[in-house]
Amino acid sequence: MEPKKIAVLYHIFYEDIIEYIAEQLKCLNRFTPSFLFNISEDLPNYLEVKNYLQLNFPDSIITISSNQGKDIGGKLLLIGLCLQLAIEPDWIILLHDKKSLQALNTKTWKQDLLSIIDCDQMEKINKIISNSANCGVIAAENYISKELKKENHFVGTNGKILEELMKQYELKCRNFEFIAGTMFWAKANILLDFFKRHDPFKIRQTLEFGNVLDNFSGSHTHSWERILTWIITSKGLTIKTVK
Amino acid sequence: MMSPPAIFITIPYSAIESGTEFSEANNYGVNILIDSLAIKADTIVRFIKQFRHYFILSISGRVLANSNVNGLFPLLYSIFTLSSYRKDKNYIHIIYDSEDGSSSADELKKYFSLQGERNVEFTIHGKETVVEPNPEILISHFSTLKQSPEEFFEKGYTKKPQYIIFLFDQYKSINDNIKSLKLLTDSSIYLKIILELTKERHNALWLNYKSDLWKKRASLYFSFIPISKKVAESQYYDVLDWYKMEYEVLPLWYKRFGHILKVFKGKRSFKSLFGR
Repeated sequence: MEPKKIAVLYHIFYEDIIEYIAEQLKCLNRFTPSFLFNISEDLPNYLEVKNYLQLNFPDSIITISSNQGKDIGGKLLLIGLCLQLAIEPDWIILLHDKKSLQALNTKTWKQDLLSIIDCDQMEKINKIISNSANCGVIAAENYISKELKKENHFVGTNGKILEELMKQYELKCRNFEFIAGTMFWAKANILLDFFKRHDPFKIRQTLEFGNVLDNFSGSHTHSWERILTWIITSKGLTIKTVK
Repeated sequence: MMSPPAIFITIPYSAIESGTEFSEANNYGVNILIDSLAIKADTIVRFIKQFRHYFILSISGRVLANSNVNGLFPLLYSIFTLSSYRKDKNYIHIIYDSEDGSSSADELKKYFSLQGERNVEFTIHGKETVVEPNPEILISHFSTLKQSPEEFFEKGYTKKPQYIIFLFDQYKSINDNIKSLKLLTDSSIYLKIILELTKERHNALWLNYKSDLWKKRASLYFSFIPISKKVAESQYYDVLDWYKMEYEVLPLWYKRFGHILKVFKGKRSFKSLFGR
């Protein structure tokens, strides 16, 4: 059986992780990968980072963009580029160099989330991909969050925006689980079909500029973090996890 | 690390698509001029991957005057993001022929601004002159330069541009254009001086920009100190509130019974009940 085609969409914001990226991604070569990187223009050593990526991933596509919508904005730009370049993978892997400096458990959070590209997990992921036709999302265990609803309304800080977006994009989900941290494998045809109908660049324009947080009030950026999972689960596909 | 180039050779999209010879521009950057509505992302990506040159973006006024140009905006934005040439001010040059008429320059500007591109400015150039003068860029037609190198020297000397873009009348062979430009600049000490001064100025501005980015990065890290304190504080009070609302309100006999139950379940030792 031919290895599955995957597109790795990786958003980079921090200046000190670049040397780990090639190491992190090496196990994905068992598939047929296309690498697309987006570097935030705020990165002081963006040229060094770009040169490093070109050296280690000679066929990759590298963009540099404004810090609009944090990693979600970067991922939407790369999804748009996939569509423009007619890249049609079987799976898309969404990644970024998460730090969340405001959070207390940032180190373990990032390590756990990156388990989805860990060499030890590749066999399991390959099995899921080959055997579970109904699976649309593969994510790290313990990072599935649920947006809570009370009396048919979302109760979290992003609730109001989420309700508007669900209505606007006609998304109907049975449950409201999403991948906290937005690093997961996504069934590409579902994601790309959605963004063929809804211009990802236009959506990117609605996201907030800069390092927006949702600890105290809602944001479009964090709402789209949830919607990215729901685009897939609203089609009846399930979430599988790896440790 | 070397700074990006300060001299840009124009290559229209149509020339890229027709596979024009292009091999001798190692010291130059490329000014990709979008001169067609029917552009393809993969053609640009192939060109960028093949030559790895720094590039900036220009758009023909004729393309922007087309009523269907709005459909091209996402692609123009993608092409812009594929460029490594980023500074505190990034210019996209709109280059008009005299008959181009009105255009969607303002809409394009708005589109980029909504993408969060706060450091992008659009400058408008006529065929021979700069319609909206931009003190930082010198756009020069090779034919004008050939006819009157003194005028170029004067402009370059008084304007002190950040970078120079060269346009040509013909784009059949980019290599020939580059050779002609080299030949001309090598033969004139004045032109050489202007090009070298521009490179030096550009390099200094580039280093300033890099230093500003590091300063910005440092202040970002500083800004997270109070934010993380605020977040930790709010999480602390959330837990405390939960404790008060869900546990503290329970009657003492219920809580004591719970602890005895824990001993029976093996979750705490009998001795620990008398520990305090």
